[in-house]
Amino acid sequence: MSDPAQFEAFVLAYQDMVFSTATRLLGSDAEAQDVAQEAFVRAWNHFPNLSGSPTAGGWLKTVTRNLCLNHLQRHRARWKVFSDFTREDDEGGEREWEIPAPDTFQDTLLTADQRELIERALARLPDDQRIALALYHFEDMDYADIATHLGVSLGKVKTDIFRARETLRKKLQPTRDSVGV
Amino acid sequence: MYNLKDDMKDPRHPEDPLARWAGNVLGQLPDRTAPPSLAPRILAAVARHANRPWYQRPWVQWPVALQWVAVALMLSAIAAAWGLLLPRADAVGTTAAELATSQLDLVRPVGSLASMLGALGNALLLILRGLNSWVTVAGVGILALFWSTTLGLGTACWRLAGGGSGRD
Repeated sequence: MSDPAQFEAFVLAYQDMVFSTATRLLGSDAEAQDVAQEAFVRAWNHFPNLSGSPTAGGWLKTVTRNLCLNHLQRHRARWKVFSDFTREDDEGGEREWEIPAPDTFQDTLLTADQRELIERALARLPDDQRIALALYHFEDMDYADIATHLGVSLGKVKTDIFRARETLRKKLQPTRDSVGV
Repeated sequence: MYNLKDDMKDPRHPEDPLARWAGNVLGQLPDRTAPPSLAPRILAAVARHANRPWYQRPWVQWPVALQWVAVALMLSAIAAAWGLLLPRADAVGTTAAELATSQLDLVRPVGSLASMLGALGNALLLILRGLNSWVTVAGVGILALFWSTTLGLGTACWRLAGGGSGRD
């Protein structure tokens, strides 16, 4: 039988990680809380094995990610409809891949304000761009895995991630140079 | 000396400055702080989950007596279906109980359980024999039609409504 006090400590230790994973994939705090709840209920069922395990965090992150992908899959029809609308900053049609010269990007240390700006920009990305970007950069999945999980072409994944990065870069453009390392 | 720049490069795209930049920037984002209401909500959900009634739990978590009842019911249903699908009883003049028990060799060692299953199968067969065969076939057909229609309509409505969340 699981110890409720021990499980409460487990929840408090991992809730930020689970919530972050879910909210960056789903783009909605409310839906992220629903998924976090489900993830921890599943953790409760396996808590005798998870308790004290060094892989508990990894297990929880994987479960959260899979729950998010299942959630997105269920809402796939609605998701596709809305994500296919173009935004004001989209120029329409197939965009050229404009990779700037290497020296135009500097590694930067973000200020707290900039981190907040990036979080907000992430949440406002179109669903398909945000999901692909989050899976690549936060979940360490490669392009092919992302394409397989989302059921889209490899080219679409690359384009979505490229556009998402471009959007984030533009968001930071005004202040980026002032905080270069 | 520790070099933050080297640590922040995206090893998967050393040649792609935009990817490297994004990896650097996103890698600096700390975990978002969960809302204060999340932990109490999770703990309440877990408490509900832990205290849910037996019929909402997996079979392996049912009370032992109910597990046995469920097994008995399932086996009797199988025995009854077996008896219906193999209408040898009429041909050889045996009773349904004899047929059911004779075909339950696997459970014969438990003796009384086999007898009980045989009796249940016998009762079910008697009921079914009392019905006109065409009525039985039509009834089963209508039930199958209702079931498939409900399933189809339910699926369509579920998808139109947004796919359902499946969440607590």
